[in-house]
Amino acid sequence: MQRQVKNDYERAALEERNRFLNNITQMLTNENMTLLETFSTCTGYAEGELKEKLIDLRAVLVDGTEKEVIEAFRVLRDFYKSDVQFDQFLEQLAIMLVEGRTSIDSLRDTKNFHNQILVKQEKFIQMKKARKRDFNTMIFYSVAFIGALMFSFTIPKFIDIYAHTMVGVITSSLYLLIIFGLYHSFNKKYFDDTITEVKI
Amino acid sequence: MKNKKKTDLDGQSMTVFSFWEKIAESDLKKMVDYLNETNVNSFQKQRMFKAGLFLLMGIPVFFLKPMISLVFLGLALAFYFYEYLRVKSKFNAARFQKELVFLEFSKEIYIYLLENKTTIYSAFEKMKEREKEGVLKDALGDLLIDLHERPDDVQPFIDFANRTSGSDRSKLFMITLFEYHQNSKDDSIIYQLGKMTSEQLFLVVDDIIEYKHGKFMNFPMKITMPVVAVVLVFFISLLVDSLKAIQFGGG
Repeated sequence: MQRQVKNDYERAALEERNRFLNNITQMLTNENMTLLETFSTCTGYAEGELKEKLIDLRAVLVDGTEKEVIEAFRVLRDFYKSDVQFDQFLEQLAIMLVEGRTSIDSLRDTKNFHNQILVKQEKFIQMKKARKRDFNTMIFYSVAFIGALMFSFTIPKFIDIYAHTMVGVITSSLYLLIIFGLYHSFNKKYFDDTITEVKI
Repeated sequence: MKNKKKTDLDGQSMTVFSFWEKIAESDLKKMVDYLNETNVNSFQKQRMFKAGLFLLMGIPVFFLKPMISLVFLGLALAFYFYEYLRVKSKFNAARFQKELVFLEFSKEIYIYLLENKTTIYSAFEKMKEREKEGVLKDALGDLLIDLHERPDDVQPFIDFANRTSGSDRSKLFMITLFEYHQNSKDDSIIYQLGKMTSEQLFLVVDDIIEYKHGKFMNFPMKITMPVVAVVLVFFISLLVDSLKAIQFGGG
């Protein structure tokens, strides 16, 4: 449960960043707006944690020296280090803010890549959901199968010759242990949403 | 341990594989070498020793109940095979990690080159300062030393690619970087490198998705096996029970 909440939060944050990237790239195509204006407008559109960060950054942008601006961007980039494309985008934005407006082609490329990563992650999550359905069905079938076995020779007989013997007790508890272990390892893999890192 | 070189009658040298390598799986040596923790021979010895322990445990049981000692034989074989699987999964994860280390490097070097518009040398140096301890930092340190000694040589760049990732893509990236360093100060090369990095990231991301998804594939089998075991045990106890009934009834 806890992990589900964390995953959902990270997913929402990623989507928020993606929205910000799309917004700002779209607005930059308008040559008449200054960079700062665009940035402020997009900050207004953003939500949640990202918005707070952007408001802090805007304050520095409005009345900060060049060094302070670079420093503020660095702090933000360090915070979002795991999101490679967003990191690159911020870097390019910082360069544009400091050195003046240049072609936004590379910004657009970065934005497109970010969109694609989002799509890929969504696909991965859907794939995992299908596997989870498989897993639950298999568990259900196996339990049903054992149930059928219990009733096939009537329950008292099952208890007599299997459940109350030493071998039966050991086998059953081993079975439960293994299923628990499988369930645990399945969940560990299931809640791993990141597609840009691998843990050993 | 190095393979002994022997010369046969024609005077040609041939490699003699040790006994341990001969009984190993064909791709084991490659994987163990890649992981760089031990070498094949000592790995195989340890593996044999651990599997042998199960067999040793089986010996006293053999005199009491010969049938149950078969279980120990099964355990020993299962353990022997399990060790191979463990190395294999470790190898797969390590490969991705190396690939990702290089991607991290290429992403950062791209940003530094954009930022500074200075020489590649100072970009490497700045990056080394910021980097955490690890393979990447050591490799960067060596690269800087090599650059100092042989500034016009492409070899340090290729060595660096081999050390961090070893893939063809990483070599291409490093050679492009070298060309940039040598010949031109054209920024479009740098933008192109950034694009290349993102494309590489995609290929790796696809691989990672496949790898992580593949891990789910054997769960149905894992769930089925214990059920089969339970059923088997049940039927065996049923058989034993009815045999007893026949004995008592017929006697």
